[in-house]
Amino acid sequence: MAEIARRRPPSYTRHVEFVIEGLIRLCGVSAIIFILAIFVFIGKEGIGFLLRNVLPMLVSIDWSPTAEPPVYGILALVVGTLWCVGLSLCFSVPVGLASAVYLSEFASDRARESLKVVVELLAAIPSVVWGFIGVMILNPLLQKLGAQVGLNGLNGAIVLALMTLPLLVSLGEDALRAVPESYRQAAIAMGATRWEMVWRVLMPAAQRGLLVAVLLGVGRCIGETMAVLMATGHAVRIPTSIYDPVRTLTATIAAELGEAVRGGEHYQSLFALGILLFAVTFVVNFIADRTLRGRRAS
Amino acid sequence: MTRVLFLSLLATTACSRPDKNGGEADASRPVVLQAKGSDTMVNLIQRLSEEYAKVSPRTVVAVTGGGSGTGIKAIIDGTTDMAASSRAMKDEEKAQAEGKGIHPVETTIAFDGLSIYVHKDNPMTQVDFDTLKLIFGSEGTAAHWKDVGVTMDCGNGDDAIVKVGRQNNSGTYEYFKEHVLGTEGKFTSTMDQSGTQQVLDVVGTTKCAIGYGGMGYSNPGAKHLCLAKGKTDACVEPIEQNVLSGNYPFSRALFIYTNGAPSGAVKEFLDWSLSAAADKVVAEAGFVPTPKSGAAPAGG
Repeated sequence: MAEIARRRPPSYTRHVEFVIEGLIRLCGVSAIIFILAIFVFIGKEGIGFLLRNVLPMLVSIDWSPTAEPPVYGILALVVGTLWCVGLSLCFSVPVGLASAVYLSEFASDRARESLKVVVELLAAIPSVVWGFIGVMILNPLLQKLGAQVGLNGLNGAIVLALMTLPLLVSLGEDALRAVPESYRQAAIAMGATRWEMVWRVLMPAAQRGLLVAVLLGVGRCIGETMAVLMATGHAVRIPTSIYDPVRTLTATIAAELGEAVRGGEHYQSLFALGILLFAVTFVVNFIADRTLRGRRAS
Repeated sequence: MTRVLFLSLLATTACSRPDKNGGEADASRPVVLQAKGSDTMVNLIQRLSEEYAKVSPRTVVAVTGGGSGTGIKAIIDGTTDMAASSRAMKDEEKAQAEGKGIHPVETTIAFDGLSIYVHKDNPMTQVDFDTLKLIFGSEGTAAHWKDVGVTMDCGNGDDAIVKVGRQNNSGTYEYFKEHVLGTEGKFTSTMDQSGTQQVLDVVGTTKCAIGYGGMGYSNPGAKHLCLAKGKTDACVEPIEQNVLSGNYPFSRALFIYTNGAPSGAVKEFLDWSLSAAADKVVAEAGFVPTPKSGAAPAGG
């Protein structure tokens, strides 16, 4: 710095620095501006509707926005969303955390590096391609396994699980590797087997980080649209079996927004769904963030 | 899920509105017409525009789907030259258009018969409106094939009916609802697909499924049912002459809406589409051409 300052006139340096500093500051603040703008935009269109109809929306399972009179029950959509997310976690959490443990504790350096590349590649597959996989591959497969309809909640859940795996694996691995080496050495020195070390020492030590990975995975699942629209069968109903088709909040917005008359009730109701989704993912991310901070503090 | 089928990606901005309506434009420039709306009609207009390009190479029709509601919305907003709709405009939509200074004019471009599809292994050969109402209505009582007198095994001894339909911005959805369930009627939970071909694909691969859609579509795994009005009426096959004769109980007109009476390039395109020269194209797309004698068929 001193050398540069000597070579240039001081006022020039100060001006450049001022401009660049301003630009960087603007970039930093822009995230907040965008979030606020999105919040205002979605809120403006849907909040009135949400407040007017919040009770009938939450108690009815009938989503018929184009019927006369229209019914805006979202219970089945909410259940459909939770159903898919919950089912997908049943697959992705055990598999994802197990791969994270393998990558961080058992894999050789070479295996780890190549596996991480593959996992990251998995994350790069666009969601519409995942939807395609649901329709073209899982659909007939599930029918062979005894499902009446191949496009169902299970199909959507598997697709979601595959989509969230990369996130779980890389965040989980980070969390495990962040555990100090001395913990491992101490456990081994105490005569613990490697399995005991992972299960009794590493898992509790990395608990918060692993929880963050799962929570961010949940957030990703809730917000996913295209893949679930294609794979879940898109039927408004409370599922009673894993083979039942379901419909999610996101898929409903995607399928219907194109037609809804701007400013009409149907349009507003879709924005109300958007507010709901926004709120849920916000809460999930917020909890994840808090958990992460707690981990850093401890 | 909007299906976008551009005939050509020629610069849409290259021509201004007077070009399309005034007609007397620079002859070397392509005239791009926008046609937006019904997913049922996407294939039809696409084929018409391809054939029309041979007659009038200067005119390019850019076809976009999205559903009849989407097309009508676009004509109200003034963002398309032609709105394709498989249902008539609702009064409130007309009022909305007039409010924006748009005067929608309706042209019937073809007729469509709505078919009921089931899986090819389904022993059912015919169906009537009452049965359809039992299956698809929210107050219908038919949840299993045995409820409508059909013996089926969809695996594991189960015979639950898998009901496949269209999403609620589709003209086909509206049309089916109105004619089977009544204007006040409501659908039971169906698997809502975003296109007729998707409905057929699900029905063709799902043994216990039943669905509805344009009669021009097909899938090797699915079959079209013979349709009767009431339980005691004779059933009518969903084929062209039955639609034209007015015997098929489930046929409808397909409309093109324009702002004001069609003029310029739009009029030329529509005139050609309604001429005898286009009949073959319409039939190949799976629809029924308008009768040239001028007598409209009386449909369901």
